[in-house]
Amino acid sequence: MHVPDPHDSEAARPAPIRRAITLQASVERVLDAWTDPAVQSVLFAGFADFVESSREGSRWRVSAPLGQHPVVFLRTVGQSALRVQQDVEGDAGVLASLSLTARPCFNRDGVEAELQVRYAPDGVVERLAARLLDPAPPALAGQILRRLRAGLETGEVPTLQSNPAAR
Amino acid sequence: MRALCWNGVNDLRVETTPDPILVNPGDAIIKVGLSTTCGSDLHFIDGYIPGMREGDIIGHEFMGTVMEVGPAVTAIRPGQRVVIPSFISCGRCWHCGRHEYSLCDNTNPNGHLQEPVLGYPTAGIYGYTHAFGGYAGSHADYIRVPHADVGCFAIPDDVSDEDALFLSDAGPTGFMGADFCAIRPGDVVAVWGCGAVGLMAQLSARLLGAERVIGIDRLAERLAMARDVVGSETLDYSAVDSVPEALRELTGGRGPDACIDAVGMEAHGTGAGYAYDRVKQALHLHTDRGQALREAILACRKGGTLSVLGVYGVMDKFPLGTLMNKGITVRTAQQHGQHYLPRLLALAQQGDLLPRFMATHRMPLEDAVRGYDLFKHKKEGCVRAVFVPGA
Repeated sequence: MHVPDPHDSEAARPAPIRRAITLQASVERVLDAWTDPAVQSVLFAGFADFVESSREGSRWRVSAPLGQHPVVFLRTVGQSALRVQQDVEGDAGVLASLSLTARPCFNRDGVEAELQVRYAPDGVVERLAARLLDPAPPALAGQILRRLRAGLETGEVPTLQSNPAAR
Repeated sequence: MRALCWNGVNDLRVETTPDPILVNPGDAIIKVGLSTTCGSDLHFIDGYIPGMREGDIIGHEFMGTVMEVGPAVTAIRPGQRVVIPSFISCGRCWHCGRHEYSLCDNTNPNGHLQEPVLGYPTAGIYGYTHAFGGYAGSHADYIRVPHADVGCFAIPDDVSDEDALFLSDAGPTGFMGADFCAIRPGDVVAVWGCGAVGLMAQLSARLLGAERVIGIDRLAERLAMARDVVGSETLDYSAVDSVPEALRELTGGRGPDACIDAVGMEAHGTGAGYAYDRVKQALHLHTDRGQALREAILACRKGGTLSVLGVYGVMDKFPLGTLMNKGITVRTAQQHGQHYLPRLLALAQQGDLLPRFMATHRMPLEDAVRGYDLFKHKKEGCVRAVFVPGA
């Protein structure tokens, strides 16, 4: 088990969550979709509900562990032709930093999109709560990217909404 | 509506559920005409494959009539008779573009459940665990079909409901298995299993030009079906000491050019190897009884092809060294039905592929629990139980 040097502040930061996906869409469409609150509502469905948007960003009510539903602010802090950077802000400050990078695939069709999430819960209780997330953050990031791909490639996202069952 | 629901291991019940509705623009609602049992259903009914929830509607092999379509659907219209492959495919992703429809990137809302086991998510299936999407299945009055333009195939007027039904799963699975063998003139193809998929694989191998097709099973009525209806040579594995040795002698000492496993994880067998698998499976130490697969690997000629159609989970004692040393090519997949269906419907129209003989038992959906009992325990010569909703 790696134990980071407590005197090395960079090494002490948790490694970012990184997930990548290849999709059949342009870089521009990927980044536009990523910052569109209507698309974000679909991407985050089940994890966060849209509250309102403003020029600076958008507000979301998160389904957190232990029955918590904090409201966070998703603020775009940087944008280029290939990348969007966003901070997730709560009452106590920045909770997580997101970065979506999209670039054409080398020598094959499609665009590679990589999502990085720096997510640093403080304290024993918060770290325990993070473990209770279902799915876990890396799997959640993959889920979000798959929804992005489905929406861009087919115009719809797979869903079990109104799925009949005897329960 | 009424539907056959999973409520626990070996606990199926016909219950009343909500009707499906259109959710996405590409959806269609199908009134199910016929829906049939499949051997792979038994794996989750018996509890060997996890991921079902109480109340899930099961069934994935069906045909019916289009009732309603979403605004983005253009290829089908209400009133049409259609057959639908078991796997849900978008038709637009990288894998669908390569005709690998059961590998579709965009139809499994629960991909995170598959990633730890498969590495990457596959397509969704109707009525087959939440790892494969959790979609309601076809043993019901109605079903929602996503991406209906890709998933629904109009049935020609001169193809019966019963023939079309088996082109939803058993037909394309068997045909794909034979296609994987890259059959050349003079080839001998051995098929483990004379259930529906095995019979379709045997028939398909003949259509694709195999010189000889050998069907392997232990049940007299299934061997008779393989012989009398499909025209295969047959081998009763319970009557020989060793299937690989028997096949070696049947093929001039060389072995079959291609071997198709249409049995899967609940293989029956004989001997110490089968006993080992049985005990480990009962103790949930592994999911698979792999006797048929191991025999196929041993029996296949050097440099031949092994085509695996059986559904498997986790198996130990897998003879990888035998595969490697014999230079065997392995091809396997869940069925890419959307790729094969146009051809299969044409073959049905020509009278060359008429699977209706496999519908040995037909009954109202309300009797579906009894249907699965007949099918699972192979009672009364049951090959497939076919359910008629609303009958």
